Amino acid sequence: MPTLLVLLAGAVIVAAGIVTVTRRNPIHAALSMLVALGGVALLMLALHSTFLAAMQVLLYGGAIMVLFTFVIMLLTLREDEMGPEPPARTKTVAGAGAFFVLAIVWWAIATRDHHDFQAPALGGAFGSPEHFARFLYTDYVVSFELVTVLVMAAVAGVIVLGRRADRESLEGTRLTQAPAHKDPHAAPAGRDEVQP
Amino acid sequence: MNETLVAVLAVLVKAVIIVGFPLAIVPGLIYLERKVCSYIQGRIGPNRVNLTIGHIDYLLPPSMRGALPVGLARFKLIPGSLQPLADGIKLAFKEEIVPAQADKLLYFMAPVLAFVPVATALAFIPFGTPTWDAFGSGHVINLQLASANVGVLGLFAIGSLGVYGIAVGGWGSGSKFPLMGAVRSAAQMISYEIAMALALLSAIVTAGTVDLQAFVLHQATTWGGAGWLMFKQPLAALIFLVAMFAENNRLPFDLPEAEPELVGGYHTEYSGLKFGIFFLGEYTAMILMSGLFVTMFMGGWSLPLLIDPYATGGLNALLSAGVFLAKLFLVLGFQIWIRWTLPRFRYDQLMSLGWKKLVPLALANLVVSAIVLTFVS
Amino acid sequence: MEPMTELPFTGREAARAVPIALPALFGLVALCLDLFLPRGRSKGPLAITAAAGALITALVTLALWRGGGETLVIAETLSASSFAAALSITILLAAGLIAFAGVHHGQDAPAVATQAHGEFYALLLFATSGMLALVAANDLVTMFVAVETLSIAVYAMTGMDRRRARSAEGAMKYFVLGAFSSGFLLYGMSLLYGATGTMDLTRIAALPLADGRNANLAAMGGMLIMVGLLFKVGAVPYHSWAPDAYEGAPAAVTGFMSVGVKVAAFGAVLKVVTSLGEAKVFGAGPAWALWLVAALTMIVGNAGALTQRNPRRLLAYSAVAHTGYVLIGVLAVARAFDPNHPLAGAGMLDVARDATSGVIFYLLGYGVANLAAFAVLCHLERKGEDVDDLGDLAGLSKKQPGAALVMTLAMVSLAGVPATAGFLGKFWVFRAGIAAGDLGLVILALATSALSLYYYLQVVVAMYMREPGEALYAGEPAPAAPRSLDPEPRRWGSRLAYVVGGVLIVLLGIYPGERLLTLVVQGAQALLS
Repeated sequence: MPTLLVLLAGAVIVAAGIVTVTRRNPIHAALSMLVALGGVALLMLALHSTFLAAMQVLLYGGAIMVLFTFVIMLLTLREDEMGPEPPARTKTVAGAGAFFVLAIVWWAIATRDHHDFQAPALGGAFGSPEHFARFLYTDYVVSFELVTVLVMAAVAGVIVLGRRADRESLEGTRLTQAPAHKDPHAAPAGRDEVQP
Repeated sequence: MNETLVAVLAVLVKAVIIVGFPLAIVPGLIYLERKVCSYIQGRIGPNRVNLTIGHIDYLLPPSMRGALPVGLARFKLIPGSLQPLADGIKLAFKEEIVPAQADKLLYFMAPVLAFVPVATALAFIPFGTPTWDAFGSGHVINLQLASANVGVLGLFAIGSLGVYGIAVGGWGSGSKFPLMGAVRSAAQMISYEIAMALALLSAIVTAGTVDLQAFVLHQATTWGGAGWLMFKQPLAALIFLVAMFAENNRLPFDLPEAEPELVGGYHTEYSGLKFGIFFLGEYTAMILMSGLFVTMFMGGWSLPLLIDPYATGGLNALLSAGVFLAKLFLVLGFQIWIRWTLPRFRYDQLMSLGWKKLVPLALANLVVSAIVLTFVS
Repeated sequence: MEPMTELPFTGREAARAVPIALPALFGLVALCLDLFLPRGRSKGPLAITAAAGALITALVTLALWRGGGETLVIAETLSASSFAAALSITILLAAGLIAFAGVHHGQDAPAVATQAHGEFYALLLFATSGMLALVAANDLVTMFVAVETLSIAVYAMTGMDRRRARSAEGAMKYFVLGAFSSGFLLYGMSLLYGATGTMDLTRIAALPLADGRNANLAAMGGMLIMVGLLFKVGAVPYHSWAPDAYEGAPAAVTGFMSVGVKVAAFGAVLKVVTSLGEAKVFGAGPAWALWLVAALTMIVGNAGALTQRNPRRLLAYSAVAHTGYVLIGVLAVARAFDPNHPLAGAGMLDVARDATSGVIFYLLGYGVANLAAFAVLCHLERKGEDVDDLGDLAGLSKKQPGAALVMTLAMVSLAGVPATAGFLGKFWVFRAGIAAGDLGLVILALATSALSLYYYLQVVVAMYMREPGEALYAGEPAPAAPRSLDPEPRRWGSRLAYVVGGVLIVLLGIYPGERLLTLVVQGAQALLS
C-alpha cells in the first residue's frame, strides 16, 4: 500500500512536471507546478512525514505558488506575450539532454545494491512536528540559525532592490519620464451623451 | 454492537456530517445574514417565501372561515425562511453564460477549487469529545474526522489552497474586474495569512500542542475549565479574529469583490450554479475559520460545569457537539454583525494594517509569550 | 509540558560556531545603526562597524585555532579546523577591506550605490557569515544553507546600483543562473544522501562505497554537487554569469564577490573532493572531467580577458582564469585518491596536502591582489561613476602615484611575477600539479600565465605611459571629457584599503611569516588527515 502510494505520487509529480515545462500558458504552467508540489506532499505522506507534507502544502501551495500566480496576474502575462516558440532544434536538443541525464540517473539508481545503511526507525512519533523539531533544534541547529541569517539577507536585499529609487539620482533615466499629461477635467468625447 | 462495525460506521457518519454540515447550514446562514442585515439597516428583510403551517382556515368548512384569529390562521413559522431555497432554485435555473474570452478549463475549475479545499479542511475540526464510548461497544469515538498529528497545520495548509479558486476564477474569466479582484485577493490572503499564522503560533506555544483535540483538552482542563486561549492570549485571539475577516474576504476587508469598485470582483462573470458554488465556498470558509477560532481560542466543545472532557457517555458527547454548535453560531453571528456595521477599508489601509500593525504585534506577542512561558514553566 | 531535550553538544562546542555568528550579529548592528545616520550622508560609521566585525571575528577565529587536525562539533555539522580557519582569514580580510573601500566621504556620497544604501554593510556581513559557515560545513544541509546565504546576499548586492541598467542585468543573470546551479547542488546532495544514508561528509568519507555499486549513485551525486559549486567559483562552462555580474555590480561588491565567494566555494569543493575521494567514489572519471574543466577555464578566462577594455570585465575574466589555476591544485587532491593512478602510493597523500596548502595560499594571494585592485577602482570612482574603461586610467601615476603603484603591484601579482604573493601561490600549486602527474596542464597554465601578462600590463601601460587625458591607443581620439583623477583627500577609507592591500601583496610575496605558513600547512593537514 505505501509503495502504491509512492508510485502514484511519483506519477503525479512526473506528469505535472512535464505539463509545467511544456505549457506555454503561464498560469496553466503555474497550476501544473502546484499539482507537482502537491504530489511531493503526497510522497512525503507516503513516507510517514506528516509534518513535512503539511509544511509542503502550506508553504509551497499556500504561499509560494500564490505569489507566482499573483505575479503572473499582476503582469497579466498571456500566452502571446511569452515570446516566440523556441525552434524545434532547441527543443530536440533540450529533450535529448534531459533524456541523457535521465538515463544516467536511472543507471546510477538501477545499479545500487547496498541497503545496509541505517534508515531511521519508523512508527511512533516519526514525522510528527515534535520529532522534526527535536532534530531541527539540536543536530541541525547551525543550519537552522543560518537560515535566519539567510532570511535577514533576503529581506535586506529586497528592501534595497525594491526601494523607490531616489528621484535625483534617477534623472535622465527611463524611470523618471513622466507619463503623458492628462487633464482630469477634459471631458472624454461623447460623455454628454452617456450622462442621464 | 460489534466494535469493528461501530468503528466503520463512525467514520462514515462523521464523513457524512462533515460534508453535509456546510451544505445544510449555509442556507440558514444566508438567511441569518439577510435578516441581520435588514435589522441593522432598519428594514424587514426577506418575508415572502415562508416555511408555514398557515392557511389552516382553508381546511375548515367555508362557514367557519374567519372564525380563527388571523395570526393563527395565517401563521408563518419563520418569515422568509425559504428564501435561500428559492434563491438556490433561481440560481439553478439561470442561464449559464461563459464569456467568450474565458479560459474554459480554468473557468470551470475555479468554483470547485474554491469549495473543495475549505470543505476538506473542515475534517480537522473536532466537534465533540474524543472519548465517547459508543453504545457500550468498547470502541471510543473521537468526534473529529481527521486526527492527524499535524492538526492545525494540516487544516491551515489545506484551507490556504482556497485562494486558488478565487485567483483562477478571476484569471479564467478573461475580464478586467475579475482579474483585479483576483489580484487583490491573492495579495490580501498572503498578507493576512502571516499575521494569522503568527497569532496561531502564540496559541500553539501556550497550549504546547498543534493537535486540535489536545488544544480543546488543554483549554478544558486548565483554569478550572475556563483556560480558553482568548483569555490566556487575548492579543493573539484579536489578531486572529481580524485576520479571519480578511481571509474570508468579508467586510471590512471584502476588496476582492468590492461591488462599488469591481462590479462583483472575481465572480463577476459567473452565473447560475457556478456562482452558487462560489457562494457556498465563501460561506464554508466562514464556517471553517469560525470553527477554528472556536476550537483554538474559545475552548472548542468544552464548557465548564456542563461538559466533562473525559466522560464516555453519549449524552455528554451530544452535549459537547451542541456546545460547539452554539459557540460556532456565536462567532458566525459576530462576523455577520461586523459585516453590516463597518465600512470597507481602502486598499493601502488594508495593507498597512496587515503588515505594519498586525504582523509586528503578532511577532511581539509570540516573543513575549515564549519568554513568559519559559520562565513560568 | 515535556522536559527539555538534552542538547547533543556542549557549550564549548557551541563556542566554535561563534565566528560564524559574529558577522551576522554585526550585520544586525549595522542595520540598526543605519536608522540613526542622517540621510544622504556618508556611511562611514557602518564601514567601521563592518570592519570591526570582520576584525573581531578574525581575532576570535585565531584565538579558537588550536592547530592540528579537525574537531567536529555540534552533532558533526561543523568542522572546526585549521583548514576552515585559514580560509576564514582570507574571507574576513575581504570583508574588512571592502567595507573600507566602499566608504565615501565626499559631497557625492549618496550617488554611490554602496553609500546610498546602508544595507550594503549588513548584506556584506550576512554574506560573510554564510561564507564562514561554508568553509566550516561538514554536512550537506549546512553546506547548502551556507551557499544560499552567501548567494542571496551577493545577488542583492550585485543589483544594488539602481541607476544603471547593467547592475540589474548582472544581478538578474547571476540570480537566474545561480538558482539553476543551486538546483544541481540540491539534486546532487539528495542523490548522495540516497546512496549513503547520511548527510555527514566525514561519515560519507568513512563509508566503504567502493566495493558496492552504490558508488555510481554517490559519484553521480558528487558530480552534480561539483557542478553547483563550480558555478560559484566561475569555472568554464559555468562562468557565463561572471563578466556581466562583475561589470554590473558596484566596484566594491565586485571586489568582495570575486574573493569571498570564490574562497568559500573552493573550500567546499576541496571538502567534497576529499570526502568522496576517501570514500573511493571519485576515481579516474571525475578527475578527467576536472582536468578538462581546469584546462578550459584557463584558456577561456585568459582569452576572454585579452580584448576587454572595462577594468572590471577584465578582472572578471582574470578571475575565471585564476579559477583554472586553482583547479590544478584541486585536481592534484582528487588524483591522490585514484587507486589506478600511475603515481598511486603513499607519497600521493603528501602531494595532496601540498596541493591543498598551495590552494589555500593561492586563494589568499589572489584575494589580496584582487582586493587591492578593486580598492583602487573604488578610490577612483567619481560621482557614482566607476572606472569603465582602461583609458580612464591614463596618467594615473602622475596624479596619484600611490594608487598607481598599488594597482601595478596587484596586476603584477595576479600575473604571477616573482616577489609577489601571486607568484608564491602559483609556484606552490603548479609544483603540486607536476608532482601529481599533470605536467601538460601545468605547461598550459604557464603558457596562459605568460599570455595574461599582456592584459595585466595594459593596465600598467595606461597608468604610467600615457599622459592624463591621452588616448590609450595610438589611433584613438583622445576622450572629450577625461575623468578627473585628482586625489580626493577625504576618501581615507578606500585609500586605507588599497594601502593595506598593497603592503600585503609585497609582504606575502617576500616574507609570509612563520605563523601564517603554519596555518596554511596545518589547514591542509586538517583536511587530509
